[in-house]
Amino acid sequence: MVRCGMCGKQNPASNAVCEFCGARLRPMTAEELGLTPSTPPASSAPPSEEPRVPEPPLPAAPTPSDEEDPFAELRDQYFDDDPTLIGASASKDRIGKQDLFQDVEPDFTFGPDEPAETSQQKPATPQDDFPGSIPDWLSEASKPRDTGPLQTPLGAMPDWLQEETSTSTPPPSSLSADEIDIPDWLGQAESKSATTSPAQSEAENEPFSLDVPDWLDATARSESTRQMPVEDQTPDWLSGLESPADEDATTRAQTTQPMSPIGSDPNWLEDQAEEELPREPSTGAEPSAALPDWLYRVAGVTQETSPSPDEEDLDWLRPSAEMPASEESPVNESTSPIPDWLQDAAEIPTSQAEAAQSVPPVEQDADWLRPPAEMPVESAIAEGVPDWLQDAAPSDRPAAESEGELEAEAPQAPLISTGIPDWLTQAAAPQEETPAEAAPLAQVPDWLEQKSEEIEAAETETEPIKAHTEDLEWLRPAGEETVGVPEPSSEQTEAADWLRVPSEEQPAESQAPTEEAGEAELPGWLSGLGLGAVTPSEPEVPAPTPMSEEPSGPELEVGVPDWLAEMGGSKFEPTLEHDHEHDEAAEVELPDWMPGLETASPESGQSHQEVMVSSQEAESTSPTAEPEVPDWLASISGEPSAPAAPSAQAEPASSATEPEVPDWLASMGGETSMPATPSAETELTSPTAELEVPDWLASMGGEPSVPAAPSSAAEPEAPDWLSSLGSEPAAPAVPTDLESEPEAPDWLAGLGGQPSESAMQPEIPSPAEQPSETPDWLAGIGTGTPATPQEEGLLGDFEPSPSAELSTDSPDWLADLDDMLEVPSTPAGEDLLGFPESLQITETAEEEDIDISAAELPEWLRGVAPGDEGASERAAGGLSANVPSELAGLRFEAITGERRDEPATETVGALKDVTGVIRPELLFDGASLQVGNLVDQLIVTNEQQRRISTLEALLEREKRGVVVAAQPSTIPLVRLLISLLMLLTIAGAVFLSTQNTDVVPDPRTSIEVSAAHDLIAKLPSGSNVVMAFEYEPETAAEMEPLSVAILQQLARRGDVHVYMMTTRAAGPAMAEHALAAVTNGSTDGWVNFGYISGGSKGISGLVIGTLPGVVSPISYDYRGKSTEVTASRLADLNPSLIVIISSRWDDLRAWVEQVEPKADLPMIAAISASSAPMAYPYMQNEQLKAIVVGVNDAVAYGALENSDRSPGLRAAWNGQVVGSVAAVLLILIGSLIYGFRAFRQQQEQE
Amino acid sequence: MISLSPAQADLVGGALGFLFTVALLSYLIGDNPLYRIALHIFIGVSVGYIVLVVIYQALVPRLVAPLTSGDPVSIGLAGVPVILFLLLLLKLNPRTSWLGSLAVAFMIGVGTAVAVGGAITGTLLPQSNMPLLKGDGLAFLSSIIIVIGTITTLIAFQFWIRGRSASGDAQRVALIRYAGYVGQGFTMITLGVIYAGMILSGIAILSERLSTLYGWFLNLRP
Repeated sequence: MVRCGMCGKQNPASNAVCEFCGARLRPMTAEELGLTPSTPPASSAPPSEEPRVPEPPLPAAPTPSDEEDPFAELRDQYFDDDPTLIGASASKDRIGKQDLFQDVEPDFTFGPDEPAETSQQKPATPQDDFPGSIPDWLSEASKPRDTGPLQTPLGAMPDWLQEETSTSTPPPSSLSADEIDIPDWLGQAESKSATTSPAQSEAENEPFSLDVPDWLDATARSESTRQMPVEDQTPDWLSGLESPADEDATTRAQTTQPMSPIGSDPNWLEDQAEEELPREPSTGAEPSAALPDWLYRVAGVTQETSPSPDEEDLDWLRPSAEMPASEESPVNESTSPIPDWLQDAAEIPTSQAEAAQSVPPVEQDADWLRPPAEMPVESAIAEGVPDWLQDAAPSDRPAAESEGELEAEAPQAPLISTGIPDWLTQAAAPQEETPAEAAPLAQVPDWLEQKSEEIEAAETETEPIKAHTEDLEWLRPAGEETVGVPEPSSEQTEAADWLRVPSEEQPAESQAPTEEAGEAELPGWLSGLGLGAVTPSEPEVPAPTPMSEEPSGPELEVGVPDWLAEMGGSKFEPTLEHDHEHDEAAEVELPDWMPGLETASPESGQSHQEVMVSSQEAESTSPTAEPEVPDWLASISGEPSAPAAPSAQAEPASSATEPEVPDWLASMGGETSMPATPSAETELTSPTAELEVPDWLASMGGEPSVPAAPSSAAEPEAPDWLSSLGSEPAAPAVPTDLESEPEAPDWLAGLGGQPSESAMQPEIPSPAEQPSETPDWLAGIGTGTPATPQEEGLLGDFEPSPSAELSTDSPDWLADLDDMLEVPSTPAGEDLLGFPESLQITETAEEEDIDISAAELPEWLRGVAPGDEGASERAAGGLSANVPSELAGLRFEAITGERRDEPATETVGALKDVTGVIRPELLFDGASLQVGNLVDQLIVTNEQQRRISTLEALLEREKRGVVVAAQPSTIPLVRLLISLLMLLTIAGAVFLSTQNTDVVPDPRTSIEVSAAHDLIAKLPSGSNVVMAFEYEPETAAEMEPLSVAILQQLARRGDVHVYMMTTRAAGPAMAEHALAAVTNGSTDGWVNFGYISGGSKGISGLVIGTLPGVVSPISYDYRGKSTEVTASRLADLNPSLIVIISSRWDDLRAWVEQVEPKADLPMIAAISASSAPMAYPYMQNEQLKAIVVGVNDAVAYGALENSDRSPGLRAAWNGQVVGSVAAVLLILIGSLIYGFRAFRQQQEQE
Repeated sequence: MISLSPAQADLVGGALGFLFTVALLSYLIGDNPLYRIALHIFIGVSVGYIVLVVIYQALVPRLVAPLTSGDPVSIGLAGVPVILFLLLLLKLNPRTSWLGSLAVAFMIGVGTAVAVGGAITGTLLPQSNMPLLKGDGLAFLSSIIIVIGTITTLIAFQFWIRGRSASGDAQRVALIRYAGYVGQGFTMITLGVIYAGMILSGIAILSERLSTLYGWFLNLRP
């Protein structure tokens, strides 16, 4: 029974089509396709054991055109959208930038020089058994071949290929082009061949045997390992590539396996190869599965001129007349299931010699894969395997002599059984480096050769970069001499980087004992990835963001096939001399991950900022910058990103010796580290870059192959995640590695169920943290150990479970890988890849403090530059210690929940490696998943609400103000004492005065008093005197004696009229009181005009006069009675003298200023003692005729009049004198006392 | 209405006077309610008397009487201050305050003119025209002292800065600085004299007050 590959149901073996789903169970034969059956080769597989059931006629094959793709159906059937599939078989769309041959014109020609024997050796393709959808070329390819570099391992060949190989149906030799969809490239080749080699047209009529590619060859797989491609598992065609070294085309060809229906057995190709290929070993080119004739026609290769079966099959892939088919190509090369280009990469021999020996060499028939004139042409062409694929197999691998070897290899490749593609397992298989196997690289087509030449020429001009050679180390067979990588042009460098072979040192270093069993077998080309110059990186800086473009990653030295090496240059030299600045302009676009792989690890102690700066500098300044390792790789391993440019420049030589290999490839070789694959987008930063090998690759490789030792300075190490997978035992080793490794990004950490720092608080691991730590996500994969607890703080209300949260976010491919991978146990001290601890990524002892002060750091970096402790201190010390507790809650620490002692650094995101980043604040309660309070349609969390309330309380306290406690009032003793003394003194004097005792003598009559007295005395009779009483009751005690004295004198004259007026409201009362005190004389006719409003304006109006009709202020007296005076202005009163009695200086000034300039009248002023200094200037200027001041002049004036001194006047005089004396004494005493005290205080202060 | 004889009036008056005197003198021990009561009474009585005086001696004869005289001219002329008065009242309302600005402007303008004019013509010019040095003997010395005092006092209030001292402080020219010191002396003397006069005035007032109280007490004894 045959199981259908589509539906999985069992069908009779004789059926060509599944009964249930209608899928083809066996590849279509030539007859079914309408092709002329070709003569079955002698080594074709024995006829099928089962009688063939006539099958319905095949549908007419569509006319091939340039627009149709004959392989579309096959791709749709098998390849889906699996991004992991690479190679020519994969969809062109998916290859995208990874299509290394995008701009290359493959020369798929079936040269007429193809020996006819090879065609005859091609097993007949049971075309009639495949009525279904499989094109002939595939059916032919499934036929087992005796030799072939690319033979799928046992069990890896799809069923339909297996069946084909097992049948003896001659391949259809004649198939009109109209019947079969020929891809454009085939059609072109056909036309080309038709024009160049007419003899090739004969091939159209000849049986067309489809050589089964080695990688498609089912003989490399044991029957037991055949598995239907499980969903999400590696397709069979990839599985068939797992152990190319183990495959021997001859063996497979000899292995007769029943051809299972198409789709029922993934190893159909293998089966076909077993059936059809001859069993006798062949050293030369062996007939592979008969290729359809149309393929030969396209290639212009006839069966007569076709080379060996292997070569013949892939003549269409080989440039015409360039690489003559060699029938003596090593069997191992021709039967290798792995393309030559892949096999050559595994240059580092592994401990598993058998696996290495069993790996068939790469088919060398493919011219494009063949190095120019250096590598012998591989005569054998893997049956069914294109030349390019066959040639890609490592030539140094010994061909599998027997199927048993191949089968034996299979169990040694545990990954194979687990569904891992064979090509990957083969890559992990230990490869031995044998001189015999150091066969020249697979044939490199011309276009590759040309490219390599150009690149080589360009590289010779630039500073060699060791890491550049590592680009293609993985592609170079172990043991092969390193090919110098000339400095390519900008266009070529990029294309050739990944194709470069490692330096010679790397193979030598790769021979270091890394041989430990248990590692999954990997193809040579893959084993060479990690087996290159694996050197522990020097000071490692935490890797930048995973997917960033920053250079990081270790260097990887892997064997690179020559043909690939030549792509990048003539020879790959240990020191890269190409200018990585031109990488970006390379023709071939490398995948993003590849360029990033080759970045060397930065110096130790470098922070992410330094790395970034260095990378920036390296990009701009250093032409020899090392390739950059993708951030995601670097971060995984926790390795430093791009190191400083100086460091990169300082070690160009060392870096040049380390070819760069993608991590994933390096890991498959079982190396502890792999050189990063240089690419156009990345630059080599330092030779110590570490390359991380994906765990899934490392696990497949399993065996810690001999790492190629690059330079002493550069020791790429296996990435942590790779190391963790390869470490042994897997479960305990993984967490161990993970713990020691630097913190992986959160997304990685969560994948492994080990949440590192929370995703909300990513932190950049310090430089001390190391690459040796296994990322959390890796740890979680194998062991599921819990991650480190999340930091609290900002996430106070939100405490997600990173493990649960992130673990669910693991990519599918990784999740699937978990199911597929079976981490083998590794010896103690080794990781899954068998890398010894010494080679694992660990913290480097040396930490070169890179002084970035000289670097042109952006401002945002300067503030967070390492060692800038002052900034953080200044920021933290801004607040005084007396901050109230309410404000404490608003501190940065309280808000963010973290201390500022150690500025946190971001570990993921755009702000990775940046310190002092303000943590984001969650708005949602993760535990309850409930939104907080809504404030104006805004979401407010509990923490925010608390801070809002704190701020409101502070503002409320401000509004309330501060209540100052009332201080207890104290009696001013000094004031009381002074006051008491004064009272006693004055009271005594007053009392004595009342006893008619003069305490003091009468004052001396001053000049001013005499003048005033004389002036009044000399007034003519009938004169009018205007007197202004400008004082209030509070000063009446001092002013009234003066006013009384003057009135007394005027009254005594009896012939003088006095007009009294005032501008004060209480003035009229004062005037009346004073007038009342005049006892002697007559005061008849004296008028008291009373209050004159307006102050100075009133006086001015009085002086100027009023308009007619306006009541004059002197029209009424102080009682409001009209007077007999008909005057409207002061001049109308004809005053002879103006006496101003004022207690304040302002009133005197107002009268003087308003009256004296206009009236030009003599004026006498009787003022208080306090106003006397301001009135004397007027007397000096003779604006005032006389000034009488205070009580003393009043006493003197009275004395002149010989009037009786009133008791009040006496008491006032006596009291004033005594009181003034007492005041003077007290002032003096107080001045002395307080002066002396102040002097003493001043001295004490000094 | 209560009518008192002069003797009784003197007695009540005296007593009130005594009380108010004591109350005001109680400020020596600090602010106290007795002092504030006496102070408020004195202010109230004074303001009341002033209002009455203004009404009877200003408003009625010069505003009410013309308005009620029936004379158009008098009424017209008396209406101007009424209008201004009403405009001032509009100042109370923010919406119409702009109208009261007219009256305020008139009052300010007139007052400023009178004050400035009088200051110039009555003080500044006559003082400027005064001969600086006149007289003989002591008069001449006095004039000299007056001139020196006037000049130095004015210089004392001038801050002409030439440079900075060694300590960095702004420093005037030496002549100006020393003249300013002299002027400060004269200013201090003047202020001292003024203070002395105030003390004398206060002592005199106190003496008169004590004497009155003493006499009142003497009148109380039978």
